[in-house]
Amino acid sequence: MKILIHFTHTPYGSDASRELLDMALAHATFGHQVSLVFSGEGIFNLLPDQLAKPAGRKEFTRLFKGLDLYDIEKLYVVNDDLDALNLKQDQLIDGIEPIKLGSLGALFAANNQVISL
Amino acid sequence: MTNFALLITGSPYASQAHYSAQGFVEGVYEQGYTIDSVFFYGEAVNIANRFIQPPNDEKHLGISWRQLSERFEFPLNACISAANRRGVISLEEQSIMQLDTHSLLSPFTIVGLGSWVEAAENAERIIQFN
Repeated sequence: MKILIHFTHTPYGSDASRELLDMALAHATFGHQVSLVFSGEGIFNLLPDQLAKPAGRKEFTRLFKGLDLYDIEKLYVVNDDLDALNLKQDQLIDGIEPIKLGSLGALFAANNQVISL
Repeated sequence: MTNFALLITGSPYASQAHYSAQGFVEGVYEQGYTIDSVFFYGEAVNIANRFIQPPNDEKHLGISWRQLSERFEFPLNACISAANRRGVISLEEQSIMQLDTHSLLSPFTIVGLGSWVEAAENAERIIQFN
């Protein structure tokens, strides 16, 4: 089964991203083919070295760097949104595949299920 | 005959998610389809808190879920980590954590995230209400 998990919220502004990552890991544990896509403010999840600790938070975003251990190998970022946030691909963690906003529909259609928070 | 698994992630009273999902359940059965299970995740787990007291002139969404679950015979499952973090505690957890009370509305059950994954696997379609 192919599952796409769609991140649209900042990592530490709410629980949404962390709970969505848990969901992705649960599906991966069951042997599902899991991909992640980041659009809008969800892209902030992909920045390295987030100092969550001074804000009293656990830095769960470091997990995005080691997802191949869970056989989650496809991480996509919506290019147009990257531009809108004035970020460049090389500022993100490694291994993220850029896609155009216009291709998002095709990506959704290529999966059996899409979940977002 | 299509069988659905519902994933509810919206807050009970700060979003439209539960109202819409309950309408969807009625529609599913009117069309002759079925719901296998409903899974509550994220902010939606607050629905399973038995201390929620909406004003008299507002719908009690938790009780509405109970009625739908009894009428159509599907389980109401809430994710354990999302629930416990938000103070939704079952009788069993009350005893393990040595708390003075539990807060789980019947007939909601507290389950692991794996239960959702299994439900998603077995359903022909999943529908999320956020």
